Amino acid sequence: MPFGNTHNEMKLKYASAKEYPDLTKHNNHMAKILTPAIYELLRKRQTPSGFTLDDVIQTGIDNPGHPFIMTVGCVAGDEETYEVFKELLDPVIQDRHGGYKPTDKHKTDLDPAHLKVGGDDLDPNYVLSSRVRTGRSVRGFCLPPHCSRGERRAVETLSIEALDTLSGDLKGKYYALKNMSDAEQQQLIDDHFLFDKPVSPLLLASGMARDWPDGRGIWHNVNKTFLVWVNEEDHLRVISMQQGGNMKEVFNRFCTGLTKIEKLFKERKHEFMWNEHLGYVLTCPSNLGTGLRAGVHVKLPNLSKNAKFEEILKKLRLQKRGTGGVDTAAVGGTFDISNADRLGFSEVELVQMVVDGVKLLVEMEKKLEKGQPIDAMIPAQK
Amino acid sequence: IAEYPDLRQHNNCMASHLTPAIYAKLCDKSTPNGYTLDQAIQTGVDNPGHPFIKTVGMVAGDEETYEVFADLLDPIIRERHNGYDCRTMTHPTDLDSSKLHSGRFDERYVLSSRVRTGRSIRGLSLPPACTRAERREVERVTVDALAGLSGDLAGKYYSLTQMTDAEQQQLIDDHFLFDKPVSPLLTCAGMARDWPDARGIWHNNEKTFLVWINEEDHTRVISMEKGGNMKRVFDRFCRGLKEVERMIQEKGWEFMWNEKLGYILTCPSNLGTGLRAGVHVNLPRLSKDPRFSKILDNLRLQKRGTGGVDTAAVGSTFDISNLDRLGQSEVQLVQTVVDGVNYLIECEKKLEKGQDIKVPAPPKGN
Repeated sequence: MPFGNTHNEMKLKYASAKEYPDLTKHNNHMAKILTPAIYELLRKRQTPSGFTLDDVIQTGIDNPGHPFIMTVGCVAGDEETYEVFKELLDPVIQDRHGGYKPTDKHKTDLDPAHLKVGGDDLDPNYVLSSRVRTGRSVRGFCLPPHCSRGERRAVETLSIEALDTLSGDLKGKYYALKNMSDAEQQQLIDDHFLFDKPVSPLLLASGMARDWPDGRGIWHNVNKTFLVWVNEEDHLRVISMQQGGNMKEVFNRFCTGLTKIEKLFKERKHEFMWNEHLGYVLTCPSNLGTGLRAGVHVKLPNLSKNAKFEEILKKLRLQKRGTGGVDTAAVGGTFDISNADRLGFSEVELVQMVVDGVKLLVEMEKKLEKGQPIDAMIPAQK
Repeated sequence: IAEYPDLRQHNNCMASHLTPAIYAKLCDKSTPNGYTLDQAIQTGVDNPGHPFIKTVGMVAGDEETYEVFADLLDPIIRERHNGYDCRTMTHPTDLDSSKLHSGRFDERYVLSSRVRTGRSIRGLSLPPACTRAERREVERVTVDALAGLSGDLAGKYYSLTQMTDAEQQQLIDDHFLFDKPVSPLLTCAGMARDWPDARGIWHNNEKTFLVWINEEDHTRVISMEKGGNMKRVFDRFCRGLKEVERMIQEKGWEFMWNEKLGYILTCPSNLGTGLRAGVHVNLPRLSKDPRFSKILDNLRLQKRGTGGVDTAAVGSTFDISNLDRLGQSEVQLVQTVVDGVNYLIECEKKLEKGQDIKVPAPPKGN
């Protein structure tokens, strides 16, 4: 319950024009779509749990733009947000997810056998690490921007119960943020395992950091190759990762683990938020569908200085980030390269794109090292 | 109990007084505008402690907060305001600056003098809870009233949405402008929503009388100048404040005030007078004396760095101001600062000459 929503009835006393936010300096998806007319239409509504339009858009009002990426500027407080505020969210989704229409259906495919041969041979001289992550929301509970402390704790308890029953190479342990020492926490951050303490204004403005660190924690297996974040930006974030370029192994473990976890939740009479139009429902509209980001840390010192780098990434439907994550710039010539899409493609399709794309980028890097041109290698738009 | 916050690592006034029983009693209540307990305490839940001061840990979203959540706020007010019991006591308001005496400091020590307070417009929600329309209304009502000031108080309004970065930085460097909201104490309470919409600063042409609009309170009113003429600063303060009040009343508005709590402001720590009168003063020897803190305590004074509440002192220049806000009038509090700072300067002078200093007796009743 971020601030302002309990005044929804009271706000209606004021004309819509008086409440309409000043978005003249803004550059995010919400600001592009939210006309005064849409604002007026939607401000009278709220979801069954009391999430209102101003709650949805507060983060986008408070954060006019981001230096590296075009942000969404709105969040969901519960599953129903996407229905109740569809006049705003459908166009935002369409803009963000490459023209995905309100009538489109999303395909879910978590069978790693569908990955083409290869994907376990990315050159480790260039590809330093491989990682696949997604998110899952527990149906029936409000999402991080809106959940109460009781709900958040319930999600944590359910998650711990389910994860405790994993076995074999997935057997692991839960570390509640409240009980972790500062040293343990810093180690996990340095190992790229732990989520940031919430300092990003994108998260703070939407109310996701309330009551920190209550109900938050990280579960990981003994090998530290399978991790679950509890109650950060989503109820659960599930991550499979390892050093080197064997994306196939990473994806195998990812699918196996995820499928097991879903089964464990179902046994306890809980399911994940999912529907055939939006796929998996998550807090940020940018993560709908698969919620999947498959990526590598890869050394591309020559290619990254090439004038065509951005264009190549775009054609491959890939995105670059710094190795510190979404809000960082690259260090040296090492980049985090991952799929740009989330919705409208299945998990298998997205991981395939990353594998194929990174293979090509590494080949281009090798050519540039030898002083050879890469123009003929530039692909068509996928 | 599932909803009760985990306050075991916490050290603020809210955490000291919010028992599970009080939480259970108040958690389903809300003010007529819909402001709830969880909203009021969120800042205290999210900010366990502050390095320099014991924070209050909760805020008011509207005037009624102080009544609806009295079971929690009354003991907090009592703790924070030196035993003030708002159920039985009344708060004196006195803005007659002619009563102040000895209000001119030795300018070899005192670099600047300042008095500030806050005022809330009755009928509109406070910064943690206000809607955009309400906030814009606060701005409109206040700017309207300020436009009527004249003489040495004539001035101009600078809206934050239209100010250039250069103008803004200049005002910050001159100690005129409020900070962009980075303090988690403010951001967690929701006061920074929609920034910088409907925020701004008004000041007179001489830059000695300033009004902040929609920062932590609806309005903050500040009188200041270089040097040690606290009397003139307080004169201007009272005169300006009364003028502004007169002008909003002409338009049918009034300030939030009642005889138990005085002026109603967002943070319970600012109830009563909402007044902080202070100086930037150079005390190189006294500040290194181990008795410095005790002397300040007994004079009912507080030290801060010259950057404001969240900073440490640079060199030996301190911001020294009154500790109290509620239970004493404006005149009394400014007199306390005047007497106290004069005492500190006397101590500094004694130490310069190699003489010893005395810790003053605490005020009666402490």
